[in-house]
Amino acid sequence: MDSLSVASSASDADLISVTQTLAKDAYVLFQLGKYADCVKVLNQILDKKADDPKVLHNIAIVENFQDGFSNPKRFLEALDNLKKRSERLAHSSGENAEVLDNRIKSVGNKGNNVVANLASTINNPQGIAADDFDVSVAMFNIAVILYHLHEYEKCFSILERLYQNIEPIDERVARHVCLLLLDVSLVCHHASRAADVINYLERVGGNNLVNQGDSGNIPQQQLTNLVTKSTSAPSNAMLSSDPINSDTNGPESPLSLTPEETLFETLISTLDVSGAQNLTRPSNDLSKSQTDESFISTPDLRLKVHLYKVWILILTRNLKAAKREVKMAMNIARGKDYSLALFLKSQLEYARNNHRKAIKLLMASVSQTETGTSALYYNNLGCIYYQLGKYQTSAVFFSKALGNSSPQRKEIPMKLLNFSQDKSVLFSYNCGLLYLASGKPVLAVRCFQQAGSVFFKRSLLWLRIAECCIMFSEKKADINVQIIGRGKWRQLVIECWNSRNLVQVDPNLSLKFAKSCLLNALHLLDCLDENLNLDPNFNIQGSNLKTGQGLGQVNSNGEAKETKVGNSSGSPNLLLQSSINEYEGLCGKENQMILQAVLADLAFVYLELGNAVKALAAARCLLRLPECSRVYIFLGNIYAAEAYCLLNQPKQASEHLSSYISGQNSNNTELPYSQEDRDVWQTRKAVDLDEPNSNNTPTFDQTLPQGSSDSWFMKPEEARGVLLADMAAMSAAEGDMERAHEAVTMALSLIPDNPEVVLTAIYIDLVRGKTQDAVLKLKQCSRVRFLPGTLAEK
Amino acid sequence: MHTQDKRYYEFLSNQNLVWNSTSISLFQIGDNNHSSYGCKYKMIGKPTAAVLYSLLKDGEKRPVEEILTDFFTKIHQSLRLEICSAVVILLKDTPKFLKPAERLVAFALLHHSYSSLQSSTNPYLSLLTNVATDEKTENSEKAFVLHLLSGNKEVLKSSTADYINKFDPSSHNFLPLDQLQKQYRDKTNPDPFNCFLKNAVIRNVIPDPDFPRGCDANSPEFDLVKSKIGSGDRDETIMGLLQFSSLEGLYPHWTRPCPPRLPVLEGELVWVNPDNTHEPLWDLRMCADTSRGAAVRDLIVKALKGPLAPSQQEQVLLELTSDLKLVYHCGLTPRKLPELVENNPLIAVEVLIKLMNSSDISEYFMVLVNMDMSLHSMEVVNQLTTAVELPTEFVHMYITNCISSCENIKDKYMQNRLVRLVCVFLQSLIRNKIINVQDLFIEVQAFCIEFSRIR
Repeated sequence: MDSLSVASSASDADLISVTQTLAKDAYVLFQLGKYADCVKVLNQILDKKADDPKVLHNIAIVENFQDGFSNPKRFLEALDNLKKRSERLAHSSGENAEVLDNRIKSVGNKGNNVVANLASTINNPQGIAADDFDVSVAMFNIAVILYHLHEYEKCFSILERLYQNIEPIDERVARHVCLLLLDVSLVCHHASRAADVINYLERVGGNNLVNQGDSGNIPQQQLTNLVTKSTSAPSNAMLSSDPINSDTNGPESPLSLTPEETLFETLISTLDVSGAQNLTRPSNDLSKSQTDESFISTPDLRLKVHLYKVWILILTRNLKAAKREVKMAMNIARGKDYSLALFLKSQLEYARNNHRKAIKLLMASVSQTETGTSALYYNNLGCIYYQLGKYQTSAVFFSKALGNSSPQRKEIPMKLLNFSQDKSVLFSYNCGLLYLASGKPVLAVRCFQQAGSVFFKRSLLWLRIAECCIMFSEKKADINVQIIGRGKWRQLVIECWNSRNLVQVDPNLSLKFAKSCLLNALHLLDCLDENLNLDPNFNIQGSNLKTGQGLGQVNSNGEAKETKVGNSSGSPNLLLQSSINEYEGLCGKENQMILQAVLADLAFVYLELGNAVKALAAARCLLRLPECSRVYIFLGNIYAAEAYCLLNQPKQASEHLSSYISGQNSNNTELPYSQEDRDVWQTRKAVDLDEPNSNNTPTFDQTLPQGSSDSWFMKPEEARGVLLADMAAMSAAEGDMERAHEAVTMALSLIPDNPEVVLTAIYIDLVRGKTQDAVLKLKQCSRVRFLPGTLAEK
Repeated sequence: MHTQDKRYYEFLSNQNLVWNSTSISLFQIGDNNHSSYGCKYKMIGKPTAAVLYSLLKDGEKRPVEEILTDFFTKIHQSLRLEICSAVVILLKDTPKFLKPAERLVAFALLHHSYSSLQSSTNPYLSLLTNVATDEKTENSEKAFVLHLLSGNKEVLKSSTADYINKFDPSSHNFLPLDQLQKQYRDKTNPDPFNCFLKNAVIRNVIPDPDFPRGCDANSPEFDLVKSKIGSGDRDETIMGLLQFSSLEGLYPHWTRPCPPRLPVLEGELVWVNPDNTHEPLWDLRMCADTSRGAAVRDLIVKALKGPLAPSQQEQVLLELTSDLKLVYHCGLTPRKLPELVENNPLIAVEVLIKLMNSSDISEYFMVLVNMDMSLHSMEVVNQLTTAVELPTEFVHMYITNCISSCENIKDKYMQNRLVRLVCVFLQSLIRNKIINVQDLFIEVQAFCIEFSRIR
């Protein structure tokens, strides 16, 4: 080669070739798992290149493999220190800052050329400085450890930084970055980022992926073929004498082979063809890379891209497309047992409410995979049975899933793989939901807190924790009546609400904690706390609720630039993009539902805490929500009215109630909402019965959890009862006893066993002088407990 | 605010008594107050109730002064709130539980419990004034209460039984309510500060007499014959009421529905799929040979300054082709692009093609558009258009720039040259269907007309 590099002294050259040989040996030993020997070799290199960050990095890697990652936190620190040191070194080397900045983030492509280049004797000491500061491998490794520690959000942000500048990164590392980013994005529900990665992999699949492992030996014609735009471009270049461009039209454009009709499918086939080419062409100078397990082969990657696409489609609930895609993926897998494929198929059926089929597929997947997935299997079964409303069965499976994770936990030393196999953090969210559904808030809140390390950025988690607290603090509202004296002296003393749970409440289940959780949820929903003021003009716009992230990146010049997703060529994968768009719409709708629940809960909790001002603010926010459900409007009105009562503004309070009054008679109230308003929240999509033979699939009606459709919230009639009872209370307080009596009588007929209504009714009776009626009501109500006052002490 | 004070506030409001409040609402106390309804009060224990009752009964024989002294010494101050409330209930109740002498003692207790405070802050002031003006009240009681209110200590020197016996109604002049209120209440704030539901509070004690129908409840036989059905013990009832009456009272209750749990959303249950095996990676660039990259970098530096020799050019192109990532490390930045274009257009084309996937590519395009027009820059753009798909805006912007450069150039010879170049460039673009002439019709037409002389 015609090198212009400065000839270095012979001793320098020798040193470098020696270290290169040693580095090669070390890598071989590392791959063979001979970690002790490997460390020895690495230390030899270190003797020659003291403090070299990359040598130290690899030593850290080997040592941790050696002791089975017993202390991942320490490893994390070590990596972080090395990374920082590389960055410092890079800055102090005094290179042109502009170049430097690119380099810090980037990596050369030397990885797989090590062996090939051993023969090369051109050694340029100046060159070493330029490539030595790359930290992408260290950053990736940090992300890996964070992933295994279930620190998904942190992991995600590190990978994001790598991904923003992924083109310069060595292909071997880049593929790992992409796959890890896919896994993390899917766990965190960052669907659009996952789709970006898929797009990227497909886009570069045309060039970079294919050429991997063929450095230097690619026929030039083919190379240009791949960078050529997809429509066969005419090659009559005007001023060109360029040898490269002269042969733009390859003999066989990959596209000409594929008569598929959609762009989507042609892209896949592009990958397909290029993968095949790669396989057939033996790579001559990289014999090493064939056995390098750390390199994800192109066919493997191709299949994964397919499967991840299925995954994204399921996540974004584009089930039809997912079904088509999974078929293609199965074809590519060609009978290879691929547990991810089966799991995804099962998930698809689960999402389509085809539960029986989902179970079958899960069972098939477990029979042919290693034990590591059995916990996942149980968890997923638990999900299925939960959806079938069979909470007990579901509970059995969830606890099995957790049980299957725990023995691995006790294993010492803990293998890194086992860390990540232990998905109990994820299972515990499901457990929490289950406990909540079965009325066990104490257990549920514990589960949610465990899951918090992963889900803390989801508003739903905080809402669920608040629901636990609310459930826990729910009054077992019985009325106690002390019977005092005998005979003509007999007196009944009514004790209201002495049943409140006054035992020292677990701070994690207190209503104050619920309040904080709800405020967190609001924050995550982008409705900041400050918005909860009494400003009548304030409106929470539904459109503000966004789930996408797509943050801009600031480049070296300090200018914000677009995320690179398709910035040059546009997103080719229209299907994925439209699924994502639709999904984001769905998420927006779900966030609206969550927001309604959060605001209603917040108003309730503030009332319970005695903070009428804040309760009123929350209730009014709720009432101002666009497209607020009638059920929640009812709650908002009731809470607002109560808050106004507490603030001594009965006029405003009755305004909130009077919106339900129809006609002249002030006690003539409408139903606050209809049965349909209530059902909207309960209904799930009906079972997707396009399989003719699925007539034994349990239909939804049969499998509803016992009375679940009734237990969600009060029936419209009951809501009317509440309304009347509150109107009665207000009339009574205002002294309009006739109206109060009429209203409370109706209320009692609708909700006879509500203690508050009974108390109000008794109050009204007493004020009207109907002591007998009051006593009768007490005696008839099932929620009243008569206690023999002093008699017991005699 | 101390707990004691707070309970005091709340208690006062429950009794619906006028209170000279600095109007600190309970609800501004906020979260510290556990619940507006749910506070649980201390109950008076049986021993205390017994002491209290015996003190009331002492009205028969002992001077009120002594009873009051006993009350303040025997009963701890912290219980006073509860005791006063119990006493109020006894006073208000019908049938009258307390004998007249006992009632007077009870009034004295109420009055003196807060006598250390300003008289207008005594929470029982309105109760006392109401009693003093109520027509149904016995005259002796009225007079006694008036004595209390006026601070007359004389009445305390004898027992209440004596007072009643010696009472002479003619010696008293009873003021109507409004005058009394003026006298004692002028400084008070008439607005109740509590929730208006609670302002309507009434006693939470319901008489439920248990005796055979048709009997007269007031008939003395129930008290005398203990075994008779319907008989009962007055003492027992009083003791019970003292112990169990709460401060809360009974008021219209607001029915506050608990918010529903949000149903499990679609996709909320976490379905877990097996993931990839992610293990830390070995850094293969340790001790790696970086010489080839360095050589290319050196050549690029040279290429910025002047044309490279054909062999050098070939080397750069070869290295860039053999290592697709090298282009990101060859030291080129958008700022340096114009020099490369001017000196080595072929290398510039190759580099840009390889950077098409880069996130920096748009920056490179911007530089390309804004650099001075030249044969080389046009050549680069033209080759790019045939090799890769360029953003349409970029091509349009470039053409517009070309045309305006032609217009602005002063040197006639150079202008002719440039115009010819642009023509050829446009022809090529149109022939290759890179641009649609319709999109740029006006500019191109103006260009053709203006330079029609050049052939």
